[in-house]
This record gives sequence, C-alpha cells and structure tokens, in this order.
Amino acid sequence: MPELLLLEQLSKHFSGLHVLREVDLAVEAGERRAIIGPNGAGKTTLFNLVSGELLPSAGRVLFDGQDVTGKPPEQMCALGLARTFQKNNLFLQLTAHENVRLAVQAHEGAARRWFRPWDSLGGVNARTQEVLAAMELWPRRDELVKNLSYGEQRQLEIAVALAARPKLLLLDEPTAGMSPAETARTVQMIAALPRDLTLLIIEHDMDAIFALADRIAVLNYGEVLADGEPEAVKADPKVQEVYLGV
Amino acid sequence: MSKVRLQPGYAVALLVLLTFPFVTPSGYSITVLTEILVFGVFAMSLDLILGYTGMPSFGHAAFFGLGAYATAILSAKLGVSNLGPVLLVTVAVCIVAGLILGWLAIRTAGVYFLMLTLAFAQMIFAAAQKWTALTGGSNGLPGVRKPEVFVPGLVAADPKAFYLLILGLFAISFVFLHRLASSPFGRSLVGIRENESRMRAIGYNVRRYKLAAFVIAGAFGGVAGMMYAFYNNFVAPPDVYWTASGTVLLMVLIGGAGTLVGPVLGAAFFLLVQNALSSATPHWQIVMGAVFIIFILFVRQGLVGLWTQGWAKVRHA
Repeated sequence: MPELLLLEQLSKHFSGLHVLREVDLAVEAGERRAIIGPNGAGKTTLFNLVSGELLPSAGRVLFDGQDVTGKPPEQMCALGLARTFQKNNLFLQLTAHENVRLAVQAHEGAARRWFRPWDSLGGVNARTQEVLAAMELWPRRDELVKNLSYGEQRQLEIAVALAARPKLLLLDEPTAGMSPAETARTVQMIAALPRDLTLLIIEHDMDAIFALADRIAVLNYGEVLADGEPEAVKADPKVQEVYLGV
Repeated sequence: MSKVRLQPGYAVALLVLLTFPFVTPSGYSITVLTEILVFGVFAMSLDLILGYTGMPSFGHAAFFGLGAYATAILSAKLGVSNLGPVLLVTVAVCIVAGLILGWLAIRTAGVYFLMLTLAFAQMIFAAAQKWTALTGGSNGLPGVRKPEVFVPGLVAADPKAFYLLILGLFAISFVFLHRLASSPFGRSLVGIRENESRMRAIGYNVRRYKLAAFVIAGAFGGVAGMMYAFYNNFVAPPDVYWTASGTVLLMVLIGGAGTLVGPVLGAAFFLLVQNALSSATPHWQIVMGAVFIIFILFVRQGLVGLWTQGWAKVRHA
C-alpha cells in the first residue's frame, strides 16, 4: 500500500517553544490511525500543520504523493483532506442542513452558481441528505446549530468534514465532552464510515481508540514515542510509563 | 423546506409603486419616493458586503460618488444624454475602482477594513474637491440633464416618467441582488460572515468570494450614484464625504442588515424622518441621533426584525 500521508522531519516551534520536533509519520491509504499522547504533546498542532492552518517551521508534508507543505486549508480541502476541530467550529446561526450544504457545494463547484436559488441544485441536496443521515442528523436538519445539543454539534463537525468526500479525514477528539452513551454511538458512526476513507484520529478515550484504530502513534513532548499495532503500543513500557500510567 | 422564490409580497409592492404616481395628487411625494428608491439601491449595495458578507465598509460613498461624478461629467460636460453609455461607463469605473480597493481591503478585517475603505473614500472626496477642471471643485457640477432612456428622443423629463425610470432601475437592482443573495454564491458569503476559518477548511478561497462581493457592491453603489446625479441634476463633494458613507451605513442598520428589503425600508425611514424633522425644527439632527441610538441599542435586527418578531407573536397568540 502506498502512503497517503507522509510527514518528514516535521517541526514547529512558537517563539522558542518546541511543540513538534522532527516528526516522521507515514499513514497508508485506507488505514485508521490514532494519535494519542498527554495534553500538550503537540497532537492538534500536528493536525494544524497537515491541514494548512499553520506553517511548519521545518520539514515536509506529502499528501497523495505531492509535496503540500505550507498549502492553505482551502487547497488542502480541494486535494482531498478534511478535518474536524477539537472545539466545535461551525456556523452557529445557520441550520444543520446549511452547514453541510456549504461544504457540499464548495466541493461540487456549485458555490460559483450565482443565479440559481440555493435549494434548486439536486445533486447538492442529495449529497447533503446522505451526509446528514450518515451522522444521524437528518431529522434535525432544519434546526439552527446553536440550538443543537453539544453531542449533536460534535456529530455535525464530522458531517461537515465528510461532505467534501475527502480521501483523508482528520478527527480531532471526536468524542471530547460526550457522555459515555454518546461516545459509544459516535464511535459506531465513525466505524461505519467507508473503509477506503483514511482516518487520522486524535482521541483520549481508550475504548474508542481500540475500537477504531488499526495502528496507534504516541506523541510525547512533540516527539513520536511509539508507533505500531495497538497491542504492541499498549505493551510498550515507554508508553506505559508516560501515557497509560500503569 | 420552502423554495427560494420572489414572494408574492414583492409583486404587490411593485404594483403599488407602479401606480403610485398616478393616484397621488402631490408632485412632492413623487420626488420623495424617487429619492427613497435611489438610496434604496445604495443601501442594498452596501448590504451585500456589510449584511451578507460581514465586511463593515465605512467608505461606500466612494462608489456612489464615482458613479455620480462619472454621470455628471458625461452628461453636463461631454453632452452624453443617453442612459446606455452612462450606465456602462459608471459600472465600468466602479468595477475597476472596486477591484483596486477590494484587492487591498480584503486583506484586512474589522476596524482595519473600515479605516481602509474610509481612507479610499476620502481620497475620492479630495479629488472631487481639488480636481476643479474635471469636477468643478467645491462648487460641484450643475447641469446634469435627465437622460434619454436608450431610445434617442425618449427623455425621462417629466417627474412621473423619471420616477418610473428610477423604479425600473431599482427593480432590476433588487431582483439581481436578491437572486445573488439567494444563490449558492450568496449563501457562501453568509458562511464567510459566520465563520471564515471553517469556510477555508471546507475549501473556499475566501478572498476571492470577498473580492467578488466587494466589486458587485461597488458597481451597484455606482449605479445608485448615477441615479442620484440624474435625480438631483447636480453633484457636489458632500455626496462623497464620509458622512454620506455613514448615512448609508445607518440606513442598512436601521432597516436590518442582511435582508436586502431592510436597507430599502431603512432608506425610506431615514429620508422620511429627516424630511419631517428638518421642517419641524432646526435641531433635527439631535432628534435623529437619538433615534439611531435607540435602534442600535434596542432594535438590533432593524425594522425587518421588528416586523418578523411581531409577526411571530401574532401567529403564536
């Protein structure tokens, strides 16, 4: 299997503070990779470098065989990379339907339609329905996002990211702040995503990680501490020391 | 889900506006309504960037002034009497100006965007003041004549005919901007207003959308300026001054930003209150100021918001 995402010696420092140090990481197409590590390990910064939200201080990001280092988010999205955010980052004053539709129409090139009513584009509406249904939000579609429950907003985060038919989806703590029941349902929804969609998941919930991940990378103080099959990572004494706390 | 369509209410409004000059005995009311329609177009054009896209321009009078001066120079100085070429030149000038200013201004946001647009408008104002050979300086440019409506000889000279011309231009502008605002493109502008960073993450080249909105708003601002020059037969530097940018901003806010209809109502409200107050007291601006403060503090959604909230109450009662 070729690598879909390859990070080479990726580093990021903020005015002297080294958040990521020479991270090498390879994610194969179709893989589901979890990234774990204590708070402040640099996990979200890693996402921000890959998705174009931040510029790396050094190193390269290769996506789908192409050097994409420093490309802005909108170009990364067009290349097939989508992400969710640790803190909900939605259009609160718009409906759930419109949140997803904005993402769908960007991907379908429909956003440049200037004179068609927004609700007259059949393809866009069909895709919007499909994505909302996959995240179990279709019945809530006409609700303003600010009126959705926190858990529903977390699900919508994923729906908005899915809308652009990405090859690689970065999920930043998809179950953060959810009740155990909500977490279990969300894990099921993520597990039910198409197998050819490559996933990179930051997560703290161990049950969720072992249910979803094919491989796990452990980040500690900006460095890759371990990278491998879940059982091997679990058994790694270094990992047990810094993270699993056993 | 309800379909986006021009609602029947708009057709009724258009019918009322069409028949108005033929039922009113007062020539004065036709003049006032003409002015409201002119400023209605101006306010709608600002609404596209302020209300829909969330770009607070404090220099929109730049485009109004460019359109007004382009029209006055063509009509009074060069003797171009036909609406067609005047309209084309006005729109072309404003598109070029919109591209130049927009290219710079969209790199900023918030108060910096506001200051850049204000500075640009003040530059146009300075040019209107100082470039006397072209603009007449502080004396302004008199002698703008009512235009020929495309067909040579068909001059909209009579107040009723001129009113109908302005109504036509207003209606075309409204339908154009309404369709734009209801299109996927228009909804993308709202997305940018609500959450720019997420728009980028889902694949939008936000700057390109902002620039497009800015240029279109500028073009319609220019059309409003052209309508004003024909209406007033005279153009002078105060039409480009920052107070003119402030006035149109207030019209949008009073009427309800992001609704298109609201800014038209805001323009009507502003001009009617101004007319009523200024004939009653020389200190009318103090009263006007109080009215604005009340709106900004207590009627955030503007006149349209008052209407929709009131309507919701009636329906639930």
